[in-house]
Amino acid sequence: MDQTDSELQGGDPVSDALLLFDALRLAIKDNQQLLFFDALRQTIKGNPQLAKKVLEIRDELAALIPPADPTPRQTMRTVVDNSTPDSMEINPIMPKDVHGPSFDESGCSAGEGALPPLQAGRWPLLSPMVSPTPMNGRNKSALVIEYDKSLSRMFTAFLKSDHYLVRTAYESEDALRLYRDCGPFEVVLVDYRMPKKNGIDIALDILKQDPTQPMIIVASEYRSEDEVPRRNELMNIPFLLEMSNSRFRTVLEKLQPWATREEVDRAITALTTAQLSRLQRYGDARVRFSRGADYRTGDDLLQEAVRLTLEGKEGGGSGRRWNKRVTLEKYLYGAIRSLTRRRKSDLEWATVNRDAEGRESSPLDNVASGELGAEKRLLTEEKINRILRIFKDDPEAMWVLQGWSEGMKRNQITKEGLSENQYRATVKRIRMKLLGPTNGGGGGEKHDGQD
Amino acid sequence: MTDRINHVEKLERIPEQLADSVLELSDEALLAEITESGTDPQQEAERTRWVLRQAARPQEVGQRLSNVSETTDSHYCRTSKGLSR
Repeated sequence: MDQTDSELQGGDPVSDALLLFDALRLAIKDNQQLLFFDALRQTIKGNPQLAKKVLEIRDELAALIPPADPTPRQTMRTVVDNSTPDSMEINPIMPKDVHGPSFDESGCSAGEGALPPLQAGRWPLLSPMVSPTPMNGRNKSALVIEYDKSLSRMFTAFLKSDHYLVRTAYESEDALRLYRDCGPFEVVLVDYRMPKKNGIDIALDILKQDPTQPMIIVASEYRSEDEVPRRNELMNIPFLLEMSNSRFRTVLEKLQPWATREEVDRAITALTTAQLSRLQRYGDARVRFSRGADYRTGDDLLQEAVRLTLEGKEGGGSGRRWNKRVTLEKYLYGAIRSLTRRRKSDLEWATVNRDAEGRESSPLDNVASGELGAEKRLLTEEKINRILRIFKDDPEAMWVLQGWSEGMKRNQITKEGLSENQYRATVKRIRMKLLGPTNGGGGGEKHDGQD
Repeated sequence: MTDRINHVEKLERIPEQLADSVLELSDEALLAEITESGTDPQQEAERTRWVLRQAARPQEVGQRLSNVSETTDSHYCRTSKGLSR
């Protein structure tokens, strides 16, 4: 730090930034955060306002940070690999005296990977930077047991981006010790080809400690699960054969627990007036004119979305999985969108064939109107034409509706003639007329016998 | 035929955009709009909460599966004329 300090003379901004990064790295490693702020103050001493702010922050931190550890480097232990001190795989185990009572002797955080709470008079080294807080405020933990460091880095990066706190182990002994000290995890990833001890054996050892531990076995050298030797020893454990993000995500999602009735009920209770109103109107708007929606009202659509969520748990996994890292409200928007999306059978009629002479024909040309969604198409056309008739004397509304039908977004429509305020007022008019109570706010097309 | 199909395809974007416009509204703007339309937002929200809860109630799973139909409760009834008590 002394060298860094002496070099910071407010010269080239890039060089200064690089030196600051080094200062920050060293400061964090040595648990000497205040030195970083000293270095920062040096670089911006030409700007009194910023320098004053930095000084304020430094003083604030000084009150929180415990007295410097005389041998800070020795108190930091790496979980599995002491030979690569700067690599991504290192999970520093914090000494108990730094983190306070929420970390045990092994360095495993309490509460299945939850970040330690900020202790008064303590500075939770690194914790705020290690993992972003997921939307439900709960961190998940993962253990990656992978001897190949590049693969380990890849899995770690992926899991971290998905809000997991990740522990890594390159050898079976380290993995089992880590699991004993820190387990269970939300997910444990084990490479089948682990040296010394096969991945299947490691998995079996872990299952002896916790038979419910969700796990994934990485076996990328096999093309199908049937080819994997001893596969039958691990019932219900998914194998990751194809090394792609999408496949990994799919396998990972399968391990996520289905929402329980109690969780859904709690989330419904927590919905605010505005959230409930928005959901209702969103459902109403989607259901009323969409060809893909066979539901009678927006209410039916909302109920179907909730029912499918619970069906996952209680109907043999046929429902929709609520990833509880997003709010129930956001999840329901996605479910509603999915339920009202046009179905394949509805799209079939849109297939247009072209013969050798370039003449176009459609399956609809030769079938009765009741087949292949033709009836639905006619109804949709009629419904939407009805909308257009409502606004025939409102040129601004017609302009917006036409823009929407052309797939134009708000900024394109406002660029093409309407001001931002005019657009907002016009869309509000459209909403009030189409979704307001005088127009059957329940989305009840069937209530008035139209369908 | 193709023109007609394209025409319907285009028209179908309207309800999608209409729904998305609801998501763009702030909470305050949404509630003001509901009030302006003559509906009590609180009352409507509680009715929606009731609708959602009905779907989450265990004893009605079988019934809901076989009969996804009219949604009414003992206090509020939503009709084509709007919300009535």
